[in-house]
Amino acid sequence: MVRWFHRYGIYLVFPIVAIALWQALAMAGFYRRQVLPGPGDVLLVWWDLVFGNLDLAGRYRGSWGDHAFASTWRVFAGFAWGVSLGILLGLLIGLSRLVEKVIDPTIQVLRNVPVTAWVPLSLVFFGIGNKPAIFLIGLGAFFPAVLNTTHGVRQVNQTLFKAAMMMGATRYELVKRVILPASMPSVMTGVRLSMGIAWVLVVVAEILAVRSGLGYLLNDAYQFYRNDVVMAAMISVGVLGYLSDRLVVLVRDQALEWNRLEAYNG
Amino acid sequence: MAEFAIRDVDKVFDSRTGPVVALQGISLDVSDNEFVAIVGASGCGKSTLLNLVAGFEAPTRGEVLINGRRIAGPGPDRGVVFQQSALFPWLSARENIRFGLTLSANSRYLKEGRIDESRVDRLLERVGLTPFQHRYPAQLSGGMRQRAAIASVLAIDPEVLLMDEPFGALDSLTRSVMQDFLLEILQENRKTVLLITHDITEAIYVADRVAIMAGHPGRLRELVPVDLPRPRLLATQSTRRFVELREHVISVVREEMAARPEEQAFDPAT
Repeated sequence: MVRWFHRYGIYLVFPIVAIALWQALAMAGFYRRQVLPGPGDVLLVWWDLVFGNLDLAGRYRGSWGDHAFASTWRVFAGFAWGVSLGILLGLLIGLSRLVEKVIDPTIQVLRNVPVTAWVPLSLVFFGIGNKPAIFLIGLGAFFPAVLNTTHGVRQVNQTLFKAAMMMGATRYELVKRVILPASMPSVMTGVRLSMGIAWVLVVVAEILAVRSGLGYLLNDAYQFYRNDVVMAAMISVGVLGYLSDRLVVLVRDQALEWNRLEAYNG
Repeated sequence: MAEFAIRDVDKVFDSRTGPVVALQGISLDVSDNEFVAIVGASGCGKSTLLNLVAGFEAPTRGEVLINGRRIAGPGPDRGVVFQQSALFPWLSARENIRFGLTLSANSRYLKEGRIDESRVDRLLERVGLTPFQHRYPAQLSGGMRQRAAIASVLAIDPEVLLMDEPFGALDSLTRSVMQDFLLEILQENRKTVLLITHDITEAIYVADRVAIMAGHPGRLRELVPVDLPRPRLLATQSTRRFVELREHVISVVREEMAARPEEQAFDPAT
């Protein structure tokens, strides 16, 4: 029992305390139930959002699947182009001083522009719909990928470089056999950050630029004063974002077992 | 068959505080199958000298020749064993030993277009890593890592072996075992060797000649022929001649250090 608690139960302590405090605050009556619904209310409305059989979520009944799918799809679409382009450019910047001089200053300036500042222009150019959403998500995912990839290429251990050159590696072999694998841990750190940012931006994009998805659900419910639905949508984003992060970590740990061992050793 | 020659070499590095003369007027001929060890205080330019022969650096003046040809860059004819084993952490011990054989520069070792796995098997067996061949470097001990690094260099059969404090990071017991291991390997497979070490006992134990360097600027202070018979065994280290040689080398190094106390803290290698 004690061992079970230390292995699994310990993870539950804080969530249970937090939910209990929330419940206590909701029951204390400082706010009306409509303003601050309790965890039980949110759980039930969530059920109705997903399954549509409780008559609690009003016009949102049973719509959760479509919204969750729309958001997830947009996250992965934006993530895919942003991360691919980021890794590609990061490799080029890290490998070539020329590309660094030409491209890096622009990237350093642009990354300071909040992605939300791109919303007006992206609406003007892409209109309302998936296009601006996927553009914004990809833009946000691009920066962590490009920066961490560049860093990964730069910090390759010089001894490994020398060792490969000593064995007669060509430039191409150096890139493919040494630089690429050695920079992978850093690249994966960027990919993980990109995934997190993609879930932030999908909500922003869906509030402003699209009429579906969990961000749209959240904003629409807010307009109709349905804070229980707002909270259910918020928690949904948190859970889906968490699952996406676990997926990235799983892929990383499978592909980079050596790196986990190194970290454990060091 | 490989001999190399360092001819009146200077090496000057640019630093923020101006040029630093790392090596000055160094000349050294190393003949075929000869084992030369270089000793000297930290920062005397030992590693720079090895980097010149390896081709990682070019001399500012003078020339470095291998079999009469000027060295233009690193190449598989000169295998380097580094202090921190240069194993690729994402490859297993076996894959690390295969690495050199998979490069296009070493395609002469291919058998019918494929990697000669029996060659890899033999090397693994020779360095005692057959049971550990699928482990990553992080899962090997320091001694195992250095044996794997030596095997990965031997895989491409370089004519010259350049070793930069290869056992410096190992505990003294493992180091002494590795010295015997190195001598056995060279007994089976003669090579021309340049070893950088700060361990004077090690230098005398393994080398045919010990070159003593002095620092700031790095110069060759003295060449000591080691007239001890081979094969050398642990007991060799207790013979009168060994002790004499060791005392002599230590006294020269210490004399040099005492002459420049203010420079002991300075180490351009780090």
